[in-house]
Amino acid sequence: VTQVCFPQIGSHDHAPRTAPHVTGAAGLGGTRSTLLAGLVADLLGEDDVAVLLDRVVAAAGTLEITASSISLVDTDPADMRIMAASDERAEHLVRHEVRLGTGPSLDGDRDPRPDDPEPVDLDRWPDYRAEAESLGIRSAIALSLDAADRHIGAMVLYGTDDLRLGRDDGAFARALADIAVLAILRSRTTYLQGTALDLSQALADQTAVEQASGMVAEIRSCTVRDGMHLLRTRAVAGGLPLATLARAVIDRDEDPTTWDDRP
Amino acid sequence: VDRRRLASALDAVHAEDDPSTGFDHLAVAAVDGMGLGGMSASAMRGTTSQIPVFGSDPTARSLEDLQFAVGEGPCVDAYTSIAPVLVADLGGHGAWPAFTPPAVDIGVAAVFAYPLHVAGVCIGALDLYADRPRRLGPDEAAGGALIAAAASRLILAMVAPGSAFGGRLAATASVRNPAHQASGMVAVQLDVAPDVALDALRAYAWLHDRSLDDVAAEVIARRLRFGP
Repeated sequence: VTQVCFPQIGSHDHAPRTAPHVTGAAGLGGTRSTLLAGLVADLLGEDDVAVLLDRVVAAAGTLEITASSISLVDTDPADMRIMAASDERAEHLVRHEVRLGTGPSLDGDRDPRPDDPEPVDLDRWPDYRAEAESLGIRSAIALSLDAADRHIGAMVLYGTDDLRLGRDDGAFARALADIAVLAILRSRTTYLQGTALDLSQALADQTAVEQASGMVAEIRSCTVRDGMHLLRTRAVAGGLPLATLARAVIDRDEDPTTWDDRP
Repeated sequence: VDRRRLASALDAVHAEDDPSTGFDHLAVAAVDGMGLGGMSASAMRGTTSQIPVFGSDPTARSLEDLQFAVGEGPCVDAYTSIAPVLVADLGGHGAWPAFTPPAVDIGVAAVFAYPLHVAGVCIGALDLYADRPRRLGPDEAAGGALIAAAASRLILAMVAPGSAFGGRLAATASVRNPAHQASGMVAVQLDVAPDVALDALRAYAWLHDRSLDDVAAEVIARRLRFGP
């Protein structure tokens, strides 16, 4: 099943980003080092991975390139997802690559650290090349996104003619790709942590509700089943989450003897 | 350790969409890959809340029930210390007076317990057992840690929002635990917090050589009262 999702894209204007909105500690007027410093600060301060990757793509706009994109591929090509694109052309090309199931994001250079990243040979993908050329894109550099020896995606830089970065620009582009990897890993950790905490909370809530139903049963001299019923009725009447009311009973902040036992 | 069996079982887990079947693959990794008797896992919050999520065989399932009933054991220690607890000879180990005798009775001679944690949050414990005393070599201990890491992911997959199996754990969780209801009643009788009341119930069950479930049922039926 081909699954493409486009976070961010569509909510932004698609004017070519000659002056993209890099926020954080640095604007694009600064030097490369202030730009990188700003992105690293964003890594700590910004929670939304889509916003972070958008800023990485915007920072890539300082290179002599036409457009750029970041896409993720975890397991198989059908699951490739576009995470950020500098303009409509880049977005369209990644979509096209998902349709074809092949292209520079999916099959580009897997060497994570070339000293001077070379353009990929677009002749490897004739259908892709034709589509790119119809948009004025004639060359592309694919930077592999790797985490712990796992290929998780690619950052692709597009050019209207033969792209040559040189060592300095190449190192800057690589740093941007590394920041993208960190942003993606961090968002995954945050997600996992959130889910783990939810699970932990759900266990605690369920225990509290059962304990409270026993307390209500004892205080009201009824069965545990009726105690649970009273607890639920009271929660609904008071507009309180069941677990919140249960904790109030456990903490003796709520006195079940005063509860109305009519349904 | 049979690395090939272990690796192929772990690969099968990664390719598996269904968390329950994923646990089956992990049990194969433990049993066939490491020559162990079985595997079980629980989602936990402190020592009060526990939901058994998997047991490869009746002994493994009893082991999970037992650790909750007595509130101690290698798995509880693995959870609270967030470190593996490897016990090569349970009968010769004096650390858990309530846990050890019944565990040995059901045929558990060695236990290897691992914490289940994700992104710094401990969500439960994994138990591997053997029916005769044995050590885990360094390779096997590492294999156990790999199994535990995969089990942590599986439990999260069971609860992840939007997961097709998200309801699975919720369904398990909605099974009422009489021990918590009884500890609520005893909390009122003794005027203590329910967690303290649960410890009182566990202690009573241990002293009278009865199961926690039996004692809880007696309390709920009002045939047993604590306190004045």
